[in-house]
Amino acid sequence: MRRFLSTALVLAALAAPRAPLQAQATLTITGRVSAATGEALPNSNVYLLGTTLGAVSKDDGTYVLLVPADHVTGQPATLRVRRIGYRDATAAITLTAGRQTHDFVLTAAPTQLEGVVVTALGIERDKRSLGVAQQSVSPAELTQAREPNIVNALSGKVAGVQITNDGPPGGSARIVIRGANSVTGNNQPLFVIDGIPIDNSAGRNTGFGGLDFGNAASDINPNDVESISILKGANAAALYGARAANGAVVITTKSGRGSRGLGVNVTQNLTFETPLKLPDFQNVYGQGSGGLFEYKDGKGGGVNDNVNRSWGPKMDGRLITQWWSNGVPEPWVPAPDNVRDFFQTGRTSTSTVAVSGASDRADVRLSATELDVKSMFPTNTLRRLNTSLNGGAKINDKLSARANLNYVRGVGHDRPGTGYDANSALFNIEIWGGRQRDLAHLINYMNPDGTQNGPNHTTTNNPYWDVYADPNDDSRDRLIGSGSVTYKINDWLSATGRSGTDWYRDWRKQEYANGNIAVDYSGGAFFEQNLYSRETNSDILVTAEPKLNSKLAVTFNAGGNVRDSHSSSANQGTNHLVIPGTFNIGNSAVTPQVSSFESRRRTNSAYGQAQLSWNNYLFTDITGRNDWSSTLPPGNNSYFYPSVSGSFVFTDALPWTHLGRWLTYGKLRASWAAVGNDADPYQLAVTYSAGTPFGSVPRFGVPNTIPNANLKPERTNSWEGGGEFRLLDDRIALDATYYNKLTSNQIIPAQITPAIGFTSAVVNAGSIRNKGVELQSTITPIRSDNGFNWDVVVNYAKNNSKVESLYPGLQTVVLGTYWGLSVEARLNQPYGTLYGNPYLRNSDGKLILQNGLPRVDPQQVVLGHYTPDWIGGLQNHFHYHDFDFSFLVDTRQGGKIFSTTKMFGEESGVLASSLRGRENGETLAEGGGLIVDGVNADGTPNTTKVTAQAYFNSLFQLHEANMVDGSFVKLREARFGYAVPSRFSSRFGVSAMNVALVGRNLWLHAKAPDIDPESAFDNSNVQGIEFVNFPSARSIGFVLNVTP
Amino acid sequence: MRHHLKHRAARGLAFALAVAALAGACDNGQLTDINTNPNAPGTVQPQFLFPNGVTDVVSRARGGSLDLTLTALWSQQIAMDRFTDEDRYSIRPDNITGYWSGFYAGGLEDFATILAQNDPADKPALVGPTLVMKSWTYGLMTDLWGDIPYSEANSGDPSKPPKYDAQKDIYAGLFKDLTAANDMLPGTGPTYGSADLIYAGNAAKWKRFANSLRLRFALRLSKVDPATAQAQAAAAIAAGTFTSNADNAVLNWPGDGTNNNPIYSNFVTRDDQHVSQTLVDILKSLYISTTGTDTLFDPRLAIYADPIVSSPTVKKYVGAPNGLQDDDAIAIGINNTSRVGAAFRQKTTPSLLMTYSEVLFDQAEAALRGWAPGDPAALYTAAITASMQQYNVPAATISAYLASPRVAYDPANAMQQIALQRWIALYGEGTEAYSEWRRTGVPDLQPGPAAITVPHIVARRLTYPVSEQSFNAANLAAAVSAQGGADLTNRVWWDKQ
Repeated sequence: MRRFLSTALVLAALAAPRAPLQAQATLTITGRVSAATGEALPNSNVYLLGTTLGAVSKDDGTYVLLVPADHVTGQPATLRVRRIGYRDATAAITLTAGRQTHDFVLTAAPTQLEGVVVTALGIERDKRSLGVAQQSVSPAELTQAREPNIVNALSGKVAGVQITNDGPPGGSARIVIRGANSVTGNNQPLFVIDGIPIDNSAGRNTGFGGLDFGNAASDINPNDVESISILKGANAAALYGARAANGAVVITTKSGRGSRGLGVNVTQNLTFETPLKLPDFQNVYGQGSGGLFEYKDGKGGGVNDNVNRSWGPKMDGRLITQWWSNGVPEPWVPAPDNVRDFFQTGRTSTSTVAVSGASDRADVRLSATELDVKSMFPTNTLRRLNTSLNGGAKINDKLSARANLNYVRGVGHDRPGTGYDANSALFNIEIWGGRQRDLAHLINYMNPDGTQNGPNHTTTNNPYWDVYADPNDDSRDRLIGSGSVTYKINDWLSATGRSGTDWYRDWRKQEYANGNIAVDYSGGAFFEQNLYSRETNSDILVTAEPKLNSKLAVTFNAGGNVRDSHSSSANQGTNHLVIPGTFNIGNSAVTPQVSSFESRRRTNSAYGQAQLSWNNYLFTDITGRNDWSSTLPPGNNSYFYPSVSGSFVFTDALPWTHLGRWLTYGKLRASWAAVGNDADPYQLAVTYSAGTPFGSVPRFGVPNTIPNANLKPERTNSWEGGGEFRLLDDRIALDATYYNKLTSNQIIPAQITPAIGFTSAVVNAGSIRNKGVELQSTITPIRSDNGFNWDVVVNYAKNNSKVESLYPGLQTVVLGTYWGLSVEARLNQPYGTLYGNPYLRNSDGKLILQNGLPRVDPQQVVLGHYTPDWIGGLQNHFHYHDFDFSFLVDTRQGGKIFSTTKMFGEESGVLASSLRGRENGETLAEGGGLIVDGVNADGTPNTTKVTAQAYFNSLFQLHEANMVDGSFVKLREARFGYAVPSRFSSRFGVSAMNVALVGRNLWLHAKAPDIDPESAFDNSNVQGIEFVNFPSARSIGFVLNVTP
Repeated sequence: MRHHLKHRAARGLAFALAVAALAGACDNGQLTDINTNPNAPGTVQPQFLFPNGVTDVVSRARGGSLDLTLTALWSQQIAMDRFTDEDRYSIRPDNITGYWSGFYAGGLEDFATILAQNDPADKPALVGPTLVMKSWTYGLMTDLWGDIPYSEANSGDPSKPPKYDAQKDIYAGLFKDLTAANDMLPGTGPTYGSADLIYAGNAAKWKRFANSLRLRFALRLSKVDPATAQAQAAAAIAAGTFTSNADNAVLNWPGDGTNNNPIYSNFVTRDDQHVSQTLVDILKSLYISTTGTDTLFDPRLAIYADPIVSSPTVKKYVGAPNGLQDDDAIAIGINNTSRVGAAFRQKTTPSLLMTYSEVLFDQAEAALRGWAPGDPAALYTAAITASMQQYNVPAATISAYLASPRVAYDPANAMQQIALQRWIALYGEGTEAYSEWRRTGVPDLQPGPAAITVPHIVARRLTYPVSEQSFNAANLAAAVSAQGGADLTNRVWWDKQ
């Protein structure tokens, strides 16, 4: 399914054998194209520069290029070879009759600014012919630092692509290209594997507690990937449907093509993880309030012994009765590393074995990868087994077939709770842990009788109780498979039929032992989810490549698609069990909580594409697609969307622009695309939702959202223009893009005043404009004959978004509200407005205080936006003979975050910043306290001294006080590799061996205190809030790659 | 040659498009059926909506949320022992949004749907109780927020954010609806039966609840519009109010683990609210007798409050002060003040919508004002008796209490006595106690030391949710302007100085 058609270049090559042979005068060039590892490189384009003569390498890497007599001039010429993921290579030849042999060994390109690339539907095209922005990531780059989540592995490598992640191991990553188009809908690109769109939903959509089961695309095994192509604009939507309006991540997996005989490859990597950044905790004052604490029963029987904040006595070694000391006073000392030591060193191991083989008529690749994670969080483990089978066969000259099958089984155990979750161990150890609580005592979390042993007996669990007594488990079985058959009707017309399915079943179970303190789970509790998801896409595609014996080359594609989706869930659980320890619904002591949900949708589509090229320097693509969607009402459910793009290689068309070595290549491009989009299912008519029965009385409620029987499709209009240049003997390659897109008529559940009787209404309204620039540049400062090479890849992107219109009368669409702060799409503001309460100030800007404390202004204002000003990445690759060294620096500048770690951490007195006002002691009597700069209600300057405890308490939910800068610079990846020379490796009986030391998230610079500003609240459009996120992992390890 | 190629190309394209069209359009006719929601019905009968609405509004108003977070603190029957923000009138904005949104888009929308789909002429026993519950909810809301959307609320029309009605007009609407409910009840036709979680389908009781509620609302207007107050009170009493505690409007929680009394749920893992010093001290001051060191307090003290934990041998009741700074509140220690009485913290403890004792106090006041027939003294003692019987206080104790000089009816001080005893009887109905305090000024509540109000007074109303600034800005601005401000220290219309 990789090539429905080829470029004009390849076309000409195919045409070549049809030329009349004049044996005595022709030139036959043969050879083999291979990678540095010796692996054959099929599908490489070998051609004579300045002509349309070319050939494509076969599965064993060999090619045969026939040069007809009229070209055999005896003149010198350049033979060039190009292939996806590799640098171009050239050979100087002389066009004399006879036979010549030229073998090529290609080196992997750090990034792809030229050459052959994969576009929509897996069509391989020369990048020069593209009228749209596209960027490729090579497998070497992708797996450079051995990040197991393929989305995270793209961080910093593609201009205009922003990645955020939730932090916990196996957690979800969010990817957005060129800003958010949709007010409330999905803003992430479509993922396509071998032509089949796959699901990338995330199991968790709120940071308000719960577990993160990861985004579904993280099931993709990076080791199976042959190429990733990022289609940034909306043009790909013509071939993939509206979901690609946010761009598409087109993944091609490795096949057996190129193997000579039986190929075996073994890769093993092992990395170790530690927290990159933890909050800066204070170690001066321990648990308590007002400087006082003494333990008696953890329920208020002692002095403040039910207070789980750190406003207690100074930890100066004084003797205080503590929770573990059996009523005996013990030294009151800090436990400075109680959070850091709560984490263990994580270990991530990936083992891959791949076997591939190919013959003239068939090829097959079978690979198995096991990912085994023992995370930084105690008891948390993750395992994933990927098995991939990819095979193709040429049944006869007309008929060929290909099939892919990926089976993924992921198993998670004890995923850490994150966010505002009373059962989150992290929340409990970081925020509610008195600074004197040491792990050596906390580890005794259970009494012999099974009850909880811990410092607190109201509201807060012992964090080790959360870890050991309340396990959770999950598993996912997933099958992604596709099959296709291509029939060559004649030498210029072919038809392909393909069907593929992404199917998975998810099972999740959380158990809570009898004895939980934070939540009433007396008897024990459990919650179990069963999820099912299936999407099937079936396509018929007809490709016509009529042979025009002229400078004009044309290709037509026409196809039809049926997309059929079905998902369902069945949940059961109970808050109370009869007999503790048996987590079965039959053991429920109360009416169990059960629910189920089912969702179906279908979209039928017809689409077409025409590509025209003139003389290989002027290109035009025209596409059109019509969708018929099940989710829109009859009359509005059919909609058409076109696109057009063009590319002009002016350095070829206008030779005078070719400025010697100064400008070797120049191309301008422009494109325009419109995309229609449908709604989620079941938004057209009101349905009543069932509540849990009240005793035996059933209840149904009016839903909170007003449906809309007259929904129309959404519309995105997008245009972009850009240029690609190569300068200074190709030492510098530059790709610049400007884009401007408007998504209007959006289908949004707009939040409305609840006085209407509903909290939201489904409306067709709202438009968001995103415009921006993207720059990519590849620079080769050093390219030497002695084997030393230095490549630099720079990415830069700046996106400006603006909410241009909303539903009449509506000022904002609220994406989420947490602790009173709303994340919004607010009229005339950039997308992602953080709207909350500022300090109460007078007209001079001075804080108006009451009792010496800041007050909240009830009038909310814009406090910032989560969207950054710009994002960028800087990669450096150094090569010297068998050694390579590379590192990637990734940055996000601008954007704000509402830090609830700061808010809770200062309110609870655990953060170092909460020492302000405690320098001389905690109570006013000791000389502690602070005088806040501000005025009293009558305008006189404040002279009232307040305790730090009262001060930080007054900042709780004062959003302005808790806004932090979202900027950061990260040393994202580094790698030091060594290709063991074959003279050594052969001693071990292997033909090739590579070893590398790799690191990820090695260093962070951020203005925001206490947190990694990159960690997100959740995977949805609600960004710009963080809450006691699982710390990002700094990972260091090694990789061993062996080809026996 | 050229022509031939073109011809071939066109033929190929035509074939391709035909295939594509076939594939794409094969079953477009069935698409609409796929979008029929299999998860939820498109129509629903009122007997399923009504219990949903009732439990929604009651759990929000009487649960751990509104009462224990705000109004029971502001009536100083409960005090925070930590997290004292609301006790100092420092409101966390999302809480307010939650109440507002919860009432309108929750129970009120269920009630509006029933009223829109059912005709009072043939279903009076369905419509009548729904009107009563709607009025109960709106009365509570307007007492807290003053002018609120009413006549245009629950329209279901997103293009028309509703205007805020003046509280005066809302009260007129409440009287009209409750009068209509009285007129149509008990009526004939279907009842909610067992889906009526308050009265199990007893329409006669709903009629008495309608009139009792009308009496409550009538007295609210005693200062601002005595004429209406008198007329409505007299009419309500004449039409027939509660006749015993058996008529009390209460929601009995099954306590099945899924449907527990929300106060139980609040306290089962937390211990942030204790009984207010104000209430404890008042109950102590109304003692029956003192013998040596042993004092026989108002018998409801031992019901409303638990003895403090730090005095295990001698039962002591100590209230927690309202409105302290967080650290000062914590410094007191939760074992040194009284928890809410165990009887109120059970899974099955009923939530009170309105009780017979309140009706008797209201009748006593009406009689005292000369608005309605009856002996104020007799009604006063009957009201206290009903309140105590509600909690199974022995008859002898009630008699002794009534005979105590601090309690016995004093014509010179009767209005004060009625107001104070009603405030005590309204324990568990924080919002009502708060409203009655605002109307009568009894007891004499003072703000806590750390209150943030300027001037330093007990808050007189709830502020509007900040979300209205975004979603209904123009109407909100008009309402704020019409009321001369809507800060915590501004008064609602009926709360006349």
